[in-house]
This record gives sequence, structure tokens and C-alpha cells, in this order.
Amino acid sequence: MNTHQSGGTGGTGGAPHEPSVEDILAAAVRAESPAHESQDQALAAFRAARDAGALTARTRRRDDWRPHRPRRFTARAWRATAGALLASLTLGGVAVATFGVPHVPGRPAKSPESPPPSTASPPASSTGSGTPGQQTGESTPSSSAPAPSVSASPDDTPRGSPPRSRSTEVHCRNFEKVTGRGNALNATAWQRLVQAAGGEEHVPAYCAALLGYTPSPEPTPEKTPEKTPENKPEDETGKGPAENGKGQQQTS
Amino acid sequence: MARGGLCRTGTDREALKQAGEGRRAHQHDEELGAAVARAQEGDEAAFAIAYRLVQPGLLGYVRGLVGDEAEDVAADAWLEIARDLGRFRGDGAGFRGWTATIARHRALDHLRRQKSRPRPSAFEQDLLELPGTHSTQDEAFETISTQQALALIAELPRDQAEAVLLRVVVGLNGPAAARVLAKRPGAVRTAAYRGLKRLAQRLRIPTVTDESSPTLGKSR
Repeated sequence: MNTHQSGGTGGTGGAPHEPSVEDILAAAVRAESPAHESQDQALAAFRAARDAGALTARTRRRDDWRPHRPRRFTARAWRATAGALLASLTLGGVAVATFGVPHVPGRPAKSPESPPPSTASPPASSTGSGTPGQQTGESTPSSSAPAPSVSASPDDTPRGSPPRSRSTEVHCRNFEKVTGRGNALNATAWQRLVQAAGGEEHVPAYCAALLGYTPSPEPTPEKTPEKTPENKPEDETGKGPAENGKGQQQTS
Repeated sequence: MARGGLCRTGTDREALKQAGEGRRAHQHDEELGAAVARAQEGDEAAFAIAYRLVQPGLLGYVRGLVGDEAEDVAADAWLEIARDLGRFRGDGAGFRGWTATIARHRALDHLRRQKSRPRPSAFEQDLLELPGTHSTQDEAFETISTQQALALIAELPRDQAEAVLLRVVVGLNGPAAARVLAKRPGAVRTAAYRGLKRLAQRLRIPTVTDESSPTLGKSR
């Protein structure tokens, strides 16, 4: 009778396990003292392993029972949270970049069209890399070929003038670098520029009118070819690759 | 182990509940962790201490798995433990879990080999002789023999029996027992709870757990 009541008080702790059962089982199953010969056997195995240098063996994953193991999960969760935050910031940046650029008041020359500057960046970099003229001449038009095609359709329509002037402006800047270098001027983009200017000899004047300054003092084609032309497209296309890169992230 | 003959009053039990499994295991785990650390540096006496601290529970666990041949299986496990001791990382409680995992693998290997030559369960006769099932409900159940306890555990479904053995006999906490069994902690907790409840019914120990834990299944 006493046992019944005591069992009741023992179980009121709310623990999922009835304590007396645990005690009885533990006492019964654990009570037996280990046999001495098996201990000697284990000690002999320990000595053999120690003398064989097994104590320096590498820890495998299943051997690591350090108590901080559960914290790994929270660390992983934290990392996931940080990743999600980073992703949201990145996408938010894309959104700002997408909608924010046209409203920048101080830069009227920058049209909302991002493809032309971004496609204009390859010629800038490839020219700046200092590679021989032939290669530069070929790579430049081919990589900038998509740019006019983007602005080609607005070219015919009257409201397409900002994009056209934008891409033409870029081509004007690059024109001086490309002139006299191989077949660059045969490319479609340059032919359009030449066509728009009304002849190859009119291009400098055309570009000067477009850019609002005289390009002639600047050329210095062979002396410091890398520095000056490179800087020009770079500072305006510096935004180009960034936008381009984000655009790719957005689509992916 | 010092509490061989159990003839306790209710307050003793209550004290045992708090002081017993939890704190006793903690004290031993500190001692065990220190012994393991020294043994990993080559101290043979420390390895003997670790052996004496771990072996009773480990052997009980293996007994619950393989029955009479537990001594041999546990000896095999200790050979592997001694060989791989340098690889182990963790404290005393971790060492219990690590050794239990090794012993479990050896026991399962043994059972797989044994399957080809099936033999009758060692527990059947003991179960019939269990005094608790026939005689008066009182203090007879305060002490049962090792064989009787193992026979009762062997009645349980495998997952419940293992969960009870690891929690109660080896002294692992829930997550460690779950890692040994390669199961989710929640599943192991439920299995241990159900197993202990069934054992309490077999021992005719009145369980208040029926009322105290309403989230789990009612008595069957």
C-alpha cells in the first residue's frame, strides 16, 4: 500500500518517465560487476594499441562526441539567415538600380538604356589590356555589335534619339582609338557611325558636335594609348558592368 | 550499484529520482571524462577507471540486445574501444555514447551472424518465473533480478527496448541515445516513454504518467 502511494508521489514531477521503473531497471541490469578477465583483456588491448601508436589516430566524424555538436545546427541556421539577408539586399539593390537610375538629376546624358554602356565595356577593357591592334580591332566591333542593334530600332523612330546619341557617343569616344587599326571600321557599328556622320572624314566633326568638345587635342594615339582612352569609358561604364551583373543575377 | 537491495519509502524514491540518474550520472561523467582524457595520453590506470565506469551499463545494454553472449560481444567492443580510443573526442557523457555505438555495432553483427542458426530466446523461462506477475503487488517489485529485468525489456518492441536500455541502463541523455540509434531525438524519447510505461504496467507499479503526460498515448 505504501508503495502505491509513494509511486504516486514519485511520478508527480511531470517527467515522462516513471522514476521507480528506471531505478528498478538500472539497479537490476547494472548491478552485476564486470568480470575481471574481460577487464584484463581490455587493458591488454589498450596497451597494444597505445604501443602501436594508435592513440594519435585521426578523429572520424563518428568519433566526435563533443557537446558543441548541436550548436552546429544553429550555426547553420544563422548562416542561412545571413544568406537570405544578403540575397534580399542584393535583389533590393537590383530594384533600386533598375528604378533609381533614370531619376538621377545630375546626369542627363545617361539614358535609362543600360545595354549600350554595358556592351560598350568590352571594347574598353580589351583595348585597355594593351593587346595588339589587330585583335583589339576585331574584338571591339564584334562585342559592341549588339549595342547598335539594340538602339537600331529606335534609330528609325523619332523618339529613339536619346539611345542613339548614347551609343553613338560611345562609338565616338572609341573612334579615335580604332581609326587606322585593321578592319575595325568595317564592322557594322562603325559603318553606322560613319553613315550617320556622312562619311568617314566627317566623323570627328560629327562626334565633336555630339560630345560638345573637340576630340582633336585629346588623341595622342600612340603615346599613352592605354591611359586616356581607358579612363574615359571606364568612368562611365563603371556602372555598366555592375548593372549588367545584377541583371544576370536577377534573371537567374 | 550501491543500492542493491531496494526497499525504499516513497520519500527515498523521490530523492532518488532527483539525485539518482541525473546527478549520479553527472558526477560519474566528470570522473569519466577526466579518466578518458588521461587514458588518451597513454595512462593505463585511467583506462581501467573508464572501463569500470562504463562497463556495467554497456554490458547491460549488450545483454538486452544479445542475451547470454553479451560478455563476448562486450569484450569485442572493448577491443575496438581500446584500439580507437585516440580517435575519440568528447567528454564523459560523450564517451558513454561513443562506446554504446561501438557496442551496438558489435551486437548487431553478432545478431546477424546468429540469424543463420536461430536459437530460442534466453528470456522466455525467466519471464514465466517473474515473481511480479503472480504474487502480491508490494515490495516484491522493488527488486528484480538482472535476468528478470532483461526479460521484461526483451518483451518490448525492439526500438522501445533499446531506447529504455540506453536511457536507463547506459545513462545517456535523449540526444545521445538518438545518435547511437541513428534516429530523431523525438522518436527515441517517445519510444523510451512507451517502453517505460509498459514496463511499469508489467511491474504493477502505478503510473501517474497516465495523467501527467496527456500528449502521449493513453494506456493500452
